[in-house]
Amino acid sequence: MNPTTPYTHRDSPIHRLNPLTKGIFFLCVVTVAFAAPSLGVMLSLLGAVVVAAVIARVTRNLVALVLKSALLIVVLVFVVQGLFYPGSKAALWTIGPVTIWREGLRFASFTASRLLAIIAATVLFMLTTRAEDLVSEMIAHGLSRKLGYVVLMTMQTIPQMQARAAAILDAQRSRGLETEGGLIQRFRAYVPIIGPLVVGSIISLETRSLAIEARGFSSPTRRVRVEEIRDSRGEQMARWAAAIMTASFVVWRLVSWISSLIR
Amino acid sequence: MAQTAQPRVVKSGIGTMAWLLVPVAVGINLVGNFIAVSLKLPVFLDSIGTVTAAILAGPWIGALVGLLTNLIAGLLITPTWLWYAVVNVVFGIVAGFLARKGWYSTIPKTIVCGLILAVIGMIVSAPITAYVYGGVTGAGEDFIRAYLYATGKTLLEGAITASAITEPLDKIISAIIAFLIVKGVPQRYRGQFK
Repeated sequence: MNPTTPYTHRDSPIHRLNPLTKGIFFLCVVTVAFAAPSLGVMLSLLGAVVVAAVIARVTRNLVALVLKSALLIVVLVFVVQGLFYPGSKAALWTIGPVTIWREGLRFASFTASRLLAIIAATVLFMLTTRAEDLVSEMIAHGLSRKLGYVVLMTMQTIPQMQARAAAILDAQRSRGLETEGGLIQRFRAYVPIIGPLVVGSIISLETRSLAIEARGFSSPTRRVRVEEIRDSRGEQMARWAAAIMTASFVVWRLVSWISSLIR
Repeated sequence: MAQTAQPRVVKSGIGTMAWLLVPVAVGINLVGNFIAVSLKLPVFLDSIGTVTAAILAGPWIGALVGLLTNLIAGLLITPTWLWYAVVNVVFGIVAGFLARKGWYSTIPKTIVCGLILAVIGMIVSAPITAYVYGGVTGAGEDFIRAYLYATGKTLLEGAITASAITEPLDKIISAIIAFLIVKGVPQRYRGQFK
């Protein structure tokens, strides 16, 4: 169990869905968010994600994570676009030299809602899916086993490396490394921190490689999973349906866009 | 004794060492960025690992490192990283091909590589910044982009101009650090990655 991925375990129908199903739906939501032209679609997508979060009983986590990542950007988008959107004619407010334009706010609402929809979908997917399960399913459906293993191993090594980096940062500071002050000084501090981390990691690669080889990493024999992950016909059909509908939507949007160029 | 057959080294696919380099290189990218942020440096330094992996193991491993870095950072830090994955992938590919042609053998050549990566970085990331994020990513460059936008430049132009200051610095430093890392890997380990 990885304590630093956002996965939050709950006993809910969404958590029990096959990881591939959730993954495909996530990709469909993101694709539609990019292809759709109207605010209404973005808000409905956002609404759908929130409903799913309620069913999965992770609403509070979802809201917290989405706000943490997106709040600043959303505020900035409204400020920048509201003030500076090109070609604006309809002023909403004027305070002294500063004017807020209606067109700018409309564009900002559109961009911000799209960003929120995408981020919310991403967070929901992460909250309800275990990385190991997702990779395991992808391998069962044809992903190269070594690639899947490497992805998982990367996700596990990162928290370790970050902890070591923090420790090295403190250790070097306590040995007198200047980490505050002028720009040049701070730049100088960079290599003594990253150096020990990197060289040690690369040298240990050979030992690791021997270790996993000894555990059959390159062996071509078929593997059997310890934990089978549930998948149902219904879910398979749902995945295909979602993919086909999203693809058709994208094609339709492309066609309308191209024909609007020709006209 | 009957004559023995010539020993054949059959090497197909990607070696175990090359695969194992990926988590370490992704770690270098993420930790590199973490340190840069902790030191409050004006550069991201999130591609050092990509370039290192590309030099040691070729363009495709470099590309994989770039892809995984942004995917995982997108999950662990903030989703803003996700859409820039394509940029990091391109860095891996370009750096890998440059390394194959011997362009990372000396410091001056490495600096040139850094510039090439910087230009490519600016071209590939500007549309993402402009169209996906509406010019706002939460980084310090937002102010520069906002200012340019206010004076009539499009989001795309603003994005390119703003990155013209940080990208070259970022990529040249990253290329040099990658070069130093590769130089620091003992000879006997270096050939095992291809």
